Amino acid sequence: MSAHVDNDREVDACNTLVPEAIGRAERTERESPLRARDAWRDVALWEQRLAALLPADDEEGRVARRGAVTARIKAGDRAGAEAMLARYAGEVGAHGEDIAYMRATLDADDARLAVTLPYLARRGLIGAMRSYAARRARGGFAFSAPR
Amino acid sequence: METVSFYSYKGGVGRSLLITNTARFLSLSGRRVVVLDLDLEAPGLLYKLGDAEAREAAARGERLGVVDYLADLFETGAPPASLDPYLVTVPTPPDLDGSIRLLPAGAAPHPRYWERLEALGELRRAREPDLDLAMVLLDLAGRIEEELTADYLLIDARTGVTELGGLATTALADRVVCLTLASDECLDGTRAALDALRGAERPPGRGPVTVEVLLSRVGSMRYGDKEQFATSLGVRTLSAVLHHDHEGVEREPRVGTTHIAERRSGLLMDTAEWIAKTFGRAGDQHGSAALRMRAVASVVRDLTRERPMPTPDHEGGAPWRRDQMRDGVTFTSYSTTRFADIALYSEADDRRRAPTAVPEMIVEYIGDSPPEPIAAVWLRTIGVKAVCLLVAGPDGAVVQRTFTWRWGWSDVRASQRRDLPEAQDFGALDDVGDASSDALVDAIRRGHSRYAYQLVRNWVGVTHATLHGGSPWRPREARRILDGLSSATDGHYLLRVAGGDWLGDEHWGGMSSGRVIAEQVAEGLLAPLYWRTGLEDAAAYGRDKRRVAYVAPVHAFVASHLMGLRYDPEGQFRAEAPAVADESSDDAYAIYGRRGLDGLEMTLDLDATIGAEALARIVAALQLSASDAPPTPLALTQALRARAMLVTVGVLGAYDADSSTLRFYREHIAAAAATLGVATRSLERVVHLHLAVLAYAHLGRDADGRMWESFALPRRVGELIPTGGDLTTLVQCFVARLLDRLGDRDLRDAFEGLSDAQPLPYRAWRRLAAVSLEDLRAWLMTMRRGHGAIDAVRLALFP
Repeated sequence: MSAHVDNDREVDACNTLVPEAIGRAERTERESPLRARDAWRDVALWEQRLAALLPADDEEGRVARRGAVTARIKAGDRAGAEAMLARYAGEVGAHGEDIAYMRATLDADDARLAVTLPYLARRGLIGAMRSYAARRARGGFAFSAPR
Repeated sequence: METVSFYSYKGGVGRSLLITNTARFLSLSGRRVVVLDLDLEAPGLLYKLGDAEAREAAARGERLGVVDYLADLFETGAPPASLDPYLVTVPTPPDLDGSIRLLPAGAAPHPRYWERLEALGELRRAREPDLDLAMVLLDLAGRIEEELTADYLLIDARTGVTELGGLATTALADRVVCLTLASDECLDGTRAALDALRGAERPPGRGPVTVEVLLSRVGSMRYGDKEQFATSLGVRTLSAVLHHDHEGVEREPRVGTTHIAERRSGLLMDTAEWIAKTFGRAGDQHGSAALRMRAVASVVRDLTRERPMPTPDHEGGAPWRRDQMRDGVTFTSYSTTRFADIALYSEADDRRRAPTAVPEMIVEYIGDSPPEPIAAVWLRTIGVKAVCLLVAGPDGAVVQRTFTWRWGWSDVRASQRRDLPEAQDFGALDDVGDASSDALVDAIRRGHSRYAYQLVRNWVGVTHATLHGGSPWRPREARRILDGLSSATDGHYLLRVAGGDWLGDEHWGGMSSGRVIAEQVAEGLLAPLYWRTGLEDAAAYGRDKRRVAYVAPVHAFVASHLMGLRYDPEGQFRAEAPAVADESSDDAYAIYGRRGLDGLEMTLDLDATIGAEALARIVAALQLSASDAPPTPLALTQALRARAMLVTVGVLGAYDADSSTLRFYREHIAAAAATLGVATRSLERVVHLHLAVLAYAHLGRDADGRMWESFALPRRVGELIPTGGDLTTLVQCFVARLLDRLGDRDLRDAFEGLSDAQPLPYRAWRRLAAVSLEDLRAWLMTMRRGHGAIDAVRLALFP
């Protein structure tokens, strides 16, 4: 079998798995937001895989890229979402519309957080603080610096 | 806004106290301060800063705090609309701009708090799993800065290495104040925490954190220790060394006012120094705030300082306890509001004390305001019993002024005492500002024996005049003190105070001037007190072997100073020197001291009863019918009185020379007292004096190198009454002179009343009243040499 055929099969598989993962994540979210984060992380992985298989100007590939960033955010991985956005924005054939959508998704997440943390938002620190928090979270020992 | 986190690797280092004092200092400097308790597992700032109402709410589980704030935020996804329900406003002086708001942990230690705290993590994971705690707290800090326009946010960080401790120190703080003890485990842990702190990334927009390291609870340090500790912690220098509280310094007392020493000492003073140095800003009110803090700290140290305890097993002077004090309380009465830096309550437990309870005393720093009007507000309007005002003088010194007021006084009065009232004073003294001898005597008479120590001090003060102008000589006051002490019910305790604590070398540190005073106390106060106090108290004092050396002065008062029997311990020591030559000087002194007292140790037998044979002789002498039942003591003494035969020796007591025992027939004494209409206590002492003088007259070993031919009493003529009662008369003469010295009216009345009911030898002292004391002593010597009766005495007996 050629690589092209393998690719198509994998795309088909991903196309089957992504909706299932999304459905599972949405169901879990109603029960436990904490476990839903893991489910959304699965969604993000499948979407990323799909995006990797399809070019940026492919219709399905565009949807997968948008979905990957959205799922990353829902998984609580803000830094991962930003990294995805940066990568997709640099791809050949990337649609400006898609990039704008992804940015808007990130902004919407910031806006949601701004309700919870209005004083950080007012100082425009939500994004930077999220990055800082993410680095802290990876730091392990409470006093130690993120490496 | 500057955020300062207070961290310690281990607890018990004084972190909460430092936060509290820092908050107070900054508010006194006109700063708006918010204190955040992030020690969620062991919160305590509500107790340090909260008022009674806030603590009551916490006790009911209704106090809100930061745990509730976070729970509400996680629950709704948005911060609570207002911070006010979570905050406690800490009272601060209303005339200053500064303020303190406390965001406590919550209603700890109520169970509801712990439930809420435990549920907090779960709630966060369930509702806002991607909401980082650092961001939440940074948002809260931002809110505090904006809404409360705080100048300072002070955070109590958790001990150890925890998420919250890390957030408080690395994310929230601009400055970290790290306290440590000098123990190895504290130093090692602190060094690890400091290393981690230095390497931690700061939140966006925040500069590097400033770290201050304070060594706390330090007893004493040698030169170079400070640098060594700094090196071991990896810091350039220690910001401060906070000493233990017991390292106090003496005040310089003045009657009515007290200059507060400015020297460094104790935890509070060190704390005040460090805070002023660290947070003082040129141009603001920090100078006044520092002065205020130091002055208040100094007063607290005085109030809580251990008092000299006369005896460890008896209630003595006691300091105020910290649980009787509240720092920073506002009182309002009618339209008047005043702020007390310290409020002192008689009740210790806050929970038993109503939130509106009026304290016994308050301490307030009033700057350079005139003190009298402020004292009047406290005393007359708010109703405290004493007020201590700290007044700033133009020279930067703070003067302590204490005032009291009572109904009926036209105005407040300045305290006449040199110290601050103690807690017990409020129940014992009518006016706690009056610690004069008369006031203390009054308290003593009402059973408050604890003032004995102060009275003895006063007695020394008014009797110890010096050539270069020392204390004034006030003999009348000295007499009133002696009379007051003599009238107290707790005579044994008073004797121990007057004897034990003043005569020991340890009291004077071996100073020769101290020994002079000690002798003065012994002769002028202890001995008269001994001979005037109750018989049982005197007996108990004599039995107290721990203080046997202090019994000697009471014997010397009579035997030596009155009767002229020279006790010559040095001569005895020389005589016994070979026996102790091999001993060390200390041992030799002990042996010498013990042996020197051999002849003076008399036992008082208070439970003696007259022997059957002696009683039979008395009955026979009274010519009572032999068939009658033995007469009751009352009947016997009445019959003896009617015949003027109520002798002391034989009926009321006896002296046994062989065992050096004075026996008291107390039933007969009580009956005689009733018969004579005098106080039993006084009559017992009269009998004691007679028997004691009789006993001293028999002691020959140390007097003149000679002894009585026999230790027995002079031969008696007749069955009951010695017709040749020379010695009895001489003894009565000495007792009469002794009573003149003691000046106790009751004893005198008892002596004369008894004497009138006694045979001639007991009464003849009146006829010899004009004989000089020297002649009496000479007669005694003559009789001791076995020359028999003295003509003058015989003349007095048989004119």
